[in-house]
Amino acid sequence: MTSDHTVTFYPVGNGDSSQILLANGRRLIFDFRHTGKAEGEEVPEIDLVKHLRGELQDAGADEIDVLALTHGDADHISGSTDFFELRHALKYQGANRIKVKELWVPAAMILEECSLDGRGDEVIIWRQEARHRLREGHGIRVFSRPDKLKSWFDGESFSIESRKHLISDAGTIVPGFDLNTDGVEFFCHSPFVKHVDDGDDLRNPCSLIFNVRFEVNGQTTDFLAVGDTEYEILQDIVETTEFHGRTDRLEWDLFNIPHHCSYKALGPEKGDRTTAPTPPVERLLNRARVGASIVCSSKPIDNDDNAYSQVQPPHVQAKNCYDKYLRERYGARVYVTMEEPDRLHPKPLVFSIGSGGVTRVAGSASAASSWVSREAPRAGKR
Amino acid sequence: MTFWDIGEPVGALGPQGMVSLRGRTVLQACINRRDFEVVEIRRIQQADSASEIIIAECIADGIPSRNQFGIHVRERIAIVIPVDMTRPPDVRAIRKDFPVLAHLNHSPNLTGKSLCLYFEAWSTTRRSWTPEKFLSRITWWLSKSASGALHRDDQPVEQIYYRGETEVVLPHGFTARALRGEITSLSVARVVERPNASMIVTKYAAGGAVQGVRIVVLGVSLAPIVHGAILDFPTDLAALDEQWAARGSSIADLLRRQILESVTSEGIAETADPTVIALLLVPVCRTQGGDPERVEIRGVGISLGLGVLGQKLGCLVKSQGKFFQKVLLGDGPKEPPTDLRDVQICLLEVTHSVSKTFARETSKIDEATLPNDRRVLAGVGSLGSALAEIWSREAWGEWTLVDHDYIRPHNTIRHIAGHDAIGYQKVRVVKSKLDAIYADDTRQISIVPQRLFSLDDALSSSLFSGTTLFVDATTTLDVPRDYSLKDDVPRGCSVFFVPSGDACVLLMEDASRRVRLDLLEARYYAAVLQRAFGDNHLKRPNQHVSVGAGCREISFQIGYGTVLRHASLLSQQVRLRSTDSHAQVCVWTIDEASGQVRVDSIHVGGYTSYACGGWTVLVLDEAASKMRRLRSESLPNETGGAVVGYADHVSNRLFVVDVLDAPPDSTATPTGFVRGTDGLAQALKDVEQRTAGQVGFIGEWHSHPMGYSARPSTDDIYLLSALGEALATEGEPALMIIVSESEMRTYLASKRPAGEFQQ
Repeated sequence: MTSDHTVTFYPVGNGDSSQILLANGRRLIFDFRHTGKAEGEEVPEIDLVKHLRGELQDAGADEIDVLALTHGDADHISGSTDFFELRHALKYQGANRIKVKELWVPAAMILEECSLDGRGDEVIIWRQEARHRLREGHGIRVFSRPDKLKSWFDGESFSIESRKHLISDAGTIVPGFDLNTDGVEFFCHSPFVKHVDDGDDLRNPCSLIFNVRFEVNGQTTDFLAVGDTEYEILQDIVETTEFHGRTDRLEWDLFNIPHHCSYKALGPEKGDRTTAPTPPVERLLNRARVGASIVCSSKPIDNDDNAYSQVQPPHVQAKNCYDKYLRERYGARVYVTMEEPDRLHPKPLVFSIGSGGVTRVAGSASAASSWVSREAPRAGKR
Repeated sequence: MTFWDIGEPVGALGPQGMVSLRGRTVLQACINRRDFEVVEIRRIQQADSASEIIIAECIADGIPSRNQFGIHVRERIAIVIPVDMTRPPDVRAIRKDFPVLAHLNHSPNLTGKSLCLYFEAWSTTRRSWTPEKFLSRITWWLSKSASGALHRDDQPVEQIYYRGETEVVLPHGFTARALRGEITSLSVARVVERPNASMIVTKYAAGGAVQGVRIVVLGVSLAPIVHGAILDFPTDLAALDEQWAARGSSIADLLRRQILESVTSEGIAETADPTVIALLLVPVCRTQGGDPERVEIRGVGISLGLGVLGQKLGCLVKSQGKFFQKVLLGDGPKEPPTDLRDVQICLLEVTHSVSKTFARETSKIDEATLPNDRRVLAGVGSLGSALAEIWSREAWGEWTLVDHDYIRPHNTIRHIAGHDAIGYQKVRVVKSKLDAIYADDTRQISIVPQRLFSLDDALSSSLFSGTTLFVDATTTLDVPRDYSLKDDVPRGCSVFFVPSGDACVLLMEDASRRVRLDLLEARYYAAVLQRAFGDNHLKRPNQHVSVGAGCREISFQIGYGTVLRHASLLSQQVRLRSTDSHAQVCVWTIDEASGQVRVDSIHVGGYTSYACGGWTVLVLDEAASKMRRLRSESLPNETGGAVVGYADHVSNRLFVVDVLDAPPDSTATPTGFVRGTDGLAQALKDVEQRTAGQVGFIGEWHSHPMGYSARPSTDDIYLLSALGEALATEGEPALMIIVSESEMRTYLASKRPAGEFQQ
């Protein structure tokens, strides 16, 4: 690869939506959060549907290569079943829906027995879609093969053996992308088998986590793409990866931190001013390369007294922790999606990946040009 | 990573720890931005000045994390802010292993590497400088350098280095002075020999022989001759003497007298006996017995040396190889004239050094253009020196030249200075060149080798006292803008040519200085926006050459011919138009290929100024009438749109250049107006491109319908506050203009009090 890839994070509040656009035009979307309330442009969140549709139209595309749903929480999938074309039922087809060549889901998403508790509507639809694609035998990739998945196959008319090419385990490179032809490879860190089999809650612990390795002109850039997860899982990943001597897969130039800057992704205690990471998580933070950037997909993070007492993420104590390690590594900074370039009108946060590593694509336009890009407030005699 | 230490730490980390206002505002701007993290505040006291230092880490967007230039995404910098606001802030990268890059200031003894942030001089830059934009400029520098986009080709510039009959050239004003008897001899400035001829250039000052020639002036008592009488010129001195004896004059007597006057008691050595040239001043009358109308001067070359001639004339004696005065008793016996038969003489051509009057006459300078007035020219660079030379040669005006700069090697390509002038101050070089044009030394050029507005008031008022015109050829923004704020100075004009070399511009105030240069500048930009000539007018050429190691030392590719073409055109136009009392803006665009010149004369109306929150908002009449017209056309609905112009942060003047049409997706009703966005971003981009970034969005205007004042409604106040917030991110004031049937009002939202950065 000689030209640049881009990684884009969309300002969708406390939620996740990002996109990897490869230099060769292949496009992967990781999670999707469109709340609908952003359609009126009265809120700072981006109108994701309108924006993505525009991007795809500009590229002349009606299809993406991969939709990766890291887990089934609403803040990672809301609105997605209205935007993408689903193969399992006619009512999710046509009408400008965006086709998905390959759907990436954690095994938990196949297995989850969700009740229709209101937040679960879309996860059920995606479960049906994932199962449909698995039955069809193409257009799907399932991550990890726990015993529970094997049991699920027992109820189907085909064996897990017949679908093993559609299943990827942690610690392996995901088929379908490689450094030579795409300039990228996806190394799967999670989910682990044990997390799926042992857990009662199948969501966050079983979230997809990748080391996304880009290569441009021989220059390697690593993006640690983490869905919602907690420190115990990260510890497991660090320790397991270290055990296998694959510490290069823990290095990062770009880190999409988990769970909207929750302290729980660092350690058990929130801390007074700064969250203390557990030793394995600290080792992960110290694997930042010089000039690395952190992306926090969340609401803006204040730094006042009130912020320190917040229960829900984002937690300023966690941000202070990331800041501290990043500074020590001469990294860039923690980019909060809802703060860039400003809190009133956040814009997609774009990084280009090239032979010079990772570059934050300049975000702020001039004051005048961003003002005139919007309708002026009403003026008049009234 | 290790960093340079610079200055001494001061206690507090907040703005309260800073003494200077500029320091506090820069610090606040750092705190307001996420891409600057303040580390500490320091202070440094150098010989003559104090500076405050903000140590910060800058995390600029657009820096590849592993770029080949060695710039880090996170760079520690020292922002050094002199307490004296006329001095620029300095930004230094203080990481010890920060790379050596292009666009660093030459600062070998500094701690850290000083970033060269601006292409213009500080005096110009500070006009549009705000702390917010300054920080953006730092991030811009870092990210551009990290992607190699600031690099320019440092291609070296190739250095360009730089006799017939005998003719006597007399100094200026010789005849009059000689007739008054003031001049009995001249010095020889030089003798230039050609194969069959030589030219003897003379100067005032009596003295010995130069290059073996001595000039004696004979003459006042020669009898007048009648105009039209042509005398044969004799070939020997005796015949000449006889010729004049018949008219009552004795050449021999005159020669004797002059020789005795010029021989001191020291005598003249035989070995150094100079050739004598006698100048005969011959009064010429129209009629016999009438008063002489003019004096003709004849030069007579004499074949003998002065001593030998004196001996022949009987007034000198030779003794021990020297000629001495012969002491005559009484009148003494005269030597027989026959002795002079063998003294050969020849007629020399005599020419006069030209007078300035003659120069004007020859240059067809109309006396109506006030040729003798005293004038001031600021800036004697390429264009200014050419103008000064043209006007000096035409003898138009008595000039005082003001310039602080000195001649650098590359200047000689497009300047009247030569290689031998390198290192000298431009005004001195130009003065010496121009004073040397004419021997007429009665009105030499005056010079002020300083920046125009660094002069104290007393010097400034004496500079302009009694002058009738100020010509600004500095090609800066600051000189004309500062000049506009001065009263008690003469009418001003600004001349410049554009970077491409394809056009030149004249801005001239009206004689009563009602519309001054700063307003004319705004009017000029309006024309650049609206007229066809403006399409590529201010486009910067892609090609440039480097003329030194510094970043501002680039030069566009323009030949001296182009400079002279503009200079010749502008010199005439300034001269001619200074007789017209109106304000003028004129642009001449030259088609390089055909040589055709197109002129755009721009009508200059007036302006209205509004005092607004410490700022002065100046609205050109043309922009005001456009708003009124758009208002009327939209009635009964309201209308509005973007206002374009620029702020001068030194003078706190906000210039309204133009308003753009309402975007088509705007909503206009009888009770309100919502400005849409269709095409607006592009239109503003065009505005910036056409004006080379000088003019941009400064606010919004809208109309109020019939029966309503131009006072703001609640909606309007909200709009202004939102607009103010938006533009405050760059430290710029935000303007709202409301136009009603009978009035126009301006409102300003500015987070920063006006005049903060004014010294």
